[in-house]
Amino acid sequence: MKHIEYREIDENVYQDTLENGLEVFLIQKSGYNKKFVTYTAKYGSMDNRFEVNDETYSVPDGIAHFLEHKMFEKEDGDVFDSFAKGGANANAFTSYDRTSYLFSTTDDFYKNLSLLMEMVEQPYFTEDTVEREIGIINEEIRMYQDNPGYRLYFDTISQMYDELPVKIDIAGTESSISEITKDHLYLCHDVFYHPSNMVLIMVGDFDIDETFGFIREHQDSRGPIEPLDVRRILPEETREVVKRKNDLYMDVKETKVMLGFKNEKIDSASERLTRDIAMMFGLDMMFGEQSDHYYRLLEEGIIDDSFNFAHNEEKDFAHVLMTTQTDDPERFISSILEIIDEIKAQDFFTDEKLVNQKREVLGDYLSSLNSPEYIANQYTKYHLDGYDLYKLPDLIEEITVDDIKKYIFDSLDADYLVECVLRPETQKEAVHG
Amino acid sequence: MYNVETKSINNVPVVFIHTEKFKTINLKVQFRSELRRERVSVRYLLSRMMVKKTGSFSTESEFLNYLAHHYGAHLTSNATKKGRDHMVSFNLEFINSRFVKEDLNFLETMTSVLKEVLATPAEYDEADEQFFEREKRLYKNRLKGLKDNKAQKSFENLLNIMFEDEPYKFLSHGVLEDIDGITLEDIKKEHRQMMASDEAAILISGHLDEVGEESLRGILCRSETVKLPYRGYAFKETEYKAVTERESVEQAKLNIGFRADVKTAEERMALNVINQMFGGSATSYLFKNIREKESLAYQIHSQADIKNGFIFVLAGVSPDQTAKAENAVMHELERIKKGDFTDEFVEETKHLMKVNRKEAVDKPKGLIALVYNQFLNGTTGKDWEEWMDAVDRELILKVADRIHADTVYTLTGK
Repeated sequence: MKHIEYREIDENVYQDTLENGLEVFLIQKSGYNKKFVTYTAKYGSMDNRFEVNDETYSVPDGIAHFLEHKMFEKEDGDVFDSFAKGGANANAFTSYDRTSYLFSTTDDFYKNLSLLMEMVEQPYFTEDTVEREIGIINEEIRMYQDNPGYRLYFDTISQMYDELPVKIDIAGTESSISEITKDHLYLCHDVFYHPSNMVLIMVGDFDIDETFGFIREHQDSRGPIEPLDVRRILPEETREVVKRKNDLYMDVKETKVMLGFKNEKIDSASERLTRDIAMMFGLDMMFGEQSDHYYRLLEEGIIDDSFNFAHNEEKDFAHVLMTTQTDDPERFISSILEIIDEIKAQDFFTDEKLVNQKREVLGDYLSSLNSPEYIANQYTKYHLDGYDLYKLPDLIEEITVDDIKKYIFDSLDADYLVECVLRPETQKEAVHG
Repeated sequence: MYNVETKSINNVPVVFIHTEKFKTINLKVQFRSELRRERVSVRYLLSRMMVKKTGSFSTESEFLNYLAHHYGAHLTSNATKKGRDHMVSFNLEFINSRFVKEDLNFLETMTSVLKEVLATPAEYDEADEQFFEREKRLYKNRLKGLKDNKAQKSFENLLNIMFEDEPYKFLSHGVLEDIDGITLEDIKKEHRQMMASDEAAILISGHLDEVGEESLRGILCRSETVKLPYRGYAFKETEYKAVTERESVEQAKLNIGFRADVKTAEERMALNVINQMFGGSATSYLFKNIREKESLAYQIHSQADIKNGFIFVLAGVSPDQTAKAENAVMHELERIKKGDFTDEFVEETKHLMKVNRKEAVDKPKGLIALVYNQFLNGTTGKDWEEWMDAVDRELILKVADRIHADTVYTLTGK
């Protein structure tokens, strides 16, 4: 077991890789009542095509999320009940690249930890339970269809991506999930829930040796599990966008717009992080609430305080999204493009601005470390991406104005821009008479 | 692992919550007044304006840059309702200076920021009209945007029907139709009222070694302490109402409001436990039976306002199954009323509620909220445990019997 102390931020991490390949991290937070645990498979909604021992498989869209739902159901009932009986709150979520199962509790920690590990490691699927789940997930898909923000987001993503499964809803579609069988589920579990493809992260106040001993004993009892030779197959995706402009109509009162600037992925983990942070700084300087542009757009009524922007940096894709509720989407789009041109033409990014940015982000980061949930989720994300959450302050320190210029100028390129406008249905009727 | 100490400083109660586990200091000024229609929108707008601009800074970006310079100190306002009250709070979260190499004297700087936040509206003049008008416009847009969220909108519709002539129907974020009529003079008047007549309290949590009374002295001064009664609404007998409206939605929204006659602290706690068993958790009857067993809803839960004795069920269901889902909800409540539950389930539910309470104090905001609640009730954590221990099958049956469906509101497809 390795102990790493991060003195400057007063954090302690204990790490071990067990014989079967499972990686375990324990993050000690003295004085906390809560123990928070996540058990994560590197398997997400984008992993719908893969090659195992030279054989290629295609599985229905939405299966990672479906599998996540089904893992809670066992022959003797619902594991949610068992967590509740043990005084724990359990949950799970699926993203593009991972599936996390989690619980938190203040007592009976080992009992709940065993429950979590067994639940994730021992699948139980039948045709009946799969059939019933289809109904539940269909309702979930329909619920999101009524959410204007969600529809706008997914339409924008679909305008950007041609082949990459990022454009597919994490839950799949009503038709794709109806194709899921128990055999698909067993296959995906065998392939992606191998200990060497998983990471267990615990945050709280622990007896460190005892906790590691407990996990080791449990994992050893599983016996050797042969790793499979797995290769994920992702389609090639160029930077070209699919559809530049799109209008979407819903039963809403307010018009919303989303812009997406598509970028190319970066293979190097450290460069990916540098771009991620540089983009966050750059976008904030340009459009954040402390910028003059923000107030000008606000004063002119082009945006309101629903205005939001983010850079998304993932292993397999990268893009910038901007959105606002507005009466004049065309003016919003032209104003954003003007600001980008202006910034490219002048010396906008300065060391003075950067110092404040760095201080603010560092403060936010330290505040976030109050939260065991934030730590477990972000530690997992950074770790799977080849980086260490607790080294983030060093990386923040290293970012320069030149980094920001380089990445911002490259990312905010109007040649790779898509525009999606969500309008009230009444406008559609007006147009079509 | 925290200690609470209350002092009166300048006739304002100040609650110190000492704990070492957080990396931040959290400072909150809480105002409390009676919930009234003419108050909610004005106060919401006032509180938003207050955290955006203060006297020392000519622009909002200047103010935000100042906070960013202090390691991203976060200043926020919050408006909520509780019991019969409307609450406005101002919160500052900043990192403990031991994580910073330079000497920034955070606490002193932050208390003067807060002092100025509270004082600035008294000086609003014509020069602030433009700022005021813009904030009004943003506020209106925010509420209009909320109405495009069908789940939110249908819950508001339920409240409007259920509490037709009761102030409880006003959400803490105010009433869209009232915004246009607000003047800057209304804002100033409401501010004067809040500063002079509201019950106020200051709460501070974190590693507070260096925090003396002196540093907090300037935030708020009063010539005498204001103490207001803290209570819920009296139980009201009502007629059952059912309303269905149609819009183009993929999924119907089913909302049901219940009233319960609860008087003692133990009864309120029993209502809390009933809510958890009914629809407040992933093992509740609604979740297990309506969502999991019958696949009637993806989303279904109940929430309780125990101070006032209200329970609300919110569900997203298939448009062709609204009646079936409604009957199923009523059936699950009947089961609890008839005692169709095990003692084991009651104990598990109570245990989980205790765990949740312990977990809540692992967050600065959760800790402050819990301590403030004890401050309002004049209680301790021990009282809470005792009330919880008093909840058994007998008390649950007694309280469940007093729960009545008041309003069913369904928003479904065309």
